[in-house]
Amino acid sequence: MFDHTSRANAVYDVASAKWHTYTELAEEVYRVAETLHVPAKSLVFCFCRNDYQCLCGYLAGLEAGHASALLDDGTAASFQTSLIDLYRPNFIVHSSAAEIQGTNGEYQLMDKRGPCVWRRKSAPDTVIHNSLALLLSTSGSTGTPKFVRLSLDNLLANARSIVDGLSIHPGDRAITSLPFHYSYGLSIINTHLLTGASLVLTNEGLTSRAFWNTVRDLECSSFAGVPYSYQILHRLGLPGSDFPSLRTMTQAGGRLENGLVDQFFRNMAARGGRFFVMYGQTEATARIAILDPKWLPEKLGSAGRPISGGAIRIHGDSGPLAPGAVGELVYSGPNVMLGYAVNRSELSAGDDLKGTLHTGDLGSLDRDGFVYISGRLNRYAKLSGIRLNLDELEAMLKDHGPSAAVGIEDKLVIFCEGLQETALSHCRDELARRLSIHHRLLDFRVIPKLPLKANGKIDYTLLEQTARC
Amino acid sequence: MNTEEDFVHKATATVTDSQERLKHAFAAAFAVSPDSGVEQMVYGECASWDSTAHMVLIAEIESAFDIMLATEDVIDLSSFEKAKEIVAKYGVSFEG
Repeated sequence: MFDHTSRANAVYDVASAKWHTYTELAEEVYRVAETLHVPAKSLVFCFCRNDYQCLCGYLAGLEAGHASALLDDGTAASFQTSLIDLYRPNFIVHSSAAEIQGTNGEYQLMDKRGPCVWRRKSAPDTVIHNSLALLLSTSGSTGTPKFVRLSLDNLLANARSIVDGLSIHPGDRAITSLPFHYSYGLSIINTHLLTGASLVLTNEGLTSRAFWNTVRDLECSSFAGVPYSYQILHRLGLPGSDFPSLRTMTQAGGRLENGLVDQFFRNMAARGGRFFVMYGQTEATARIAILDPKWLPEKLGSAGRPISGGAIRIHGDSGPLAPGAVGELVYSGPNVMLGYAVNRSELSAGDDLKGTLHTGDLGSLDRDGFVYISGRLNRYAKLSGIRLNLDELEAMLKDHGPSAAVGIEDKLVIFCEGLQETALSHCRDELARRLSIHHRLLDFRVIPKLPLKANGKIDYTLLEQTARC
Repeated sequence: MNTEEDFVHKATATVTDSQERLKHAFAAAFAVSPDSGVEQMVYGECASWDSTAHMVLIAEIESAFDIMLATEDVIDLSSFEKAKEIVAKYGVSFEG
């Protein structure tokens, strides 16, 4: 993943206020990989936050040749337990030496000098496919135990294409403004290490003074955000002229309105920097398309062109469509996942997709090959960069009677037949906690009867219109 | 004619009002009861205080006191006590 012999600074860890060189990072990764060394290819659960120990844990999993699942260390304990039950990881890497709840002494602490490494006591489990290197969750913390299966080739190919598309160079310094376990956040880490650039690992949020002090004092050059991040920055009037080091800003994880794209593009251009709009999916490791700011404002509204090594086609019901026509976006490239997994036994599967991904996103290409995303084929909504499957969400609410959810802008409107007005806020708060999202993003409404179409299915188009009223 | 007692009563009412309004703003932003100890809340010690909650809190405070917070104040607002200090700068009184 990176040059092991460089004395250049690789990582600054805000938690311990320390720089680590590439050589030091490599030594620590080898040391942890040694602890993870067993003959059989193993599954590692890596509970992540943006710090040095978790970085070493993640890289050691790759180094040891195992398959690592990256998980949010803030995930509810009950969900952690159910994931461990379902996948029976051979190792758990955690920043805490406290026993993981609900594991009933199944795991033994092997090492706590760096990241804490726990090893499962029971005998080797089902076989894990040779190509599998990484498991990422598709939907943040919605409580769905579904992972995207990625190979080391996927990771490296996507990192190289991104480095190429954004021209990341050794002088760059990125601050981690997104979670480690999120494909976009991870892509920042991979691309900067691959280039020999530096990383500043912090868990501070965009709304804290500490975050911006770090950007200024450590002269960070690169910032990454989802649409909501840029809405916050817009409200805060950031970055102002007191952050001269900030030269590259990237945006992905959903669609940012054209007005803000234009504004951030102009702000960055005026200071000699660049603002990139990007598009991608965890199913494609992270990135699918990048819009180089040299095409702005001409191509405002576009998510750019496919990354190097990738190709985008637009498919209708009867095959590929001509430029301008809207259809499903189909992506091919070396970064397309092997497939999904929903339990341990599926980790033995090989490459199901063979490099072609039907994204489920609707869009069109213009004559110059720029892609414009217009919506979703399937029922998904994006809230603060987190993708939620609306069918799964409705299933979670089935105990409260029939309900239907529609996503509009940056919130979800949920229509419930069975609930009383008084029960709504309780239900909302409970769901918000379960999904780890803010309760204001959920708008529960009572409806006497969900509208149905002639075929007996819920009329979501009508509900969307109602939700916008 | 205002007696001194009236005056004292009014002043106390203002204190309670501002304090209560701030408590309600916190309660609304974090989906908790205003009497659940929101006065002790500190950013970084409270898992639900992420950037989304922070921006909702800012909006709640701005509408509760009909003020518009400057960038510096938005990123400095890191606890209930700090919020009182900041809101006070905009002419809201918490003192008797």
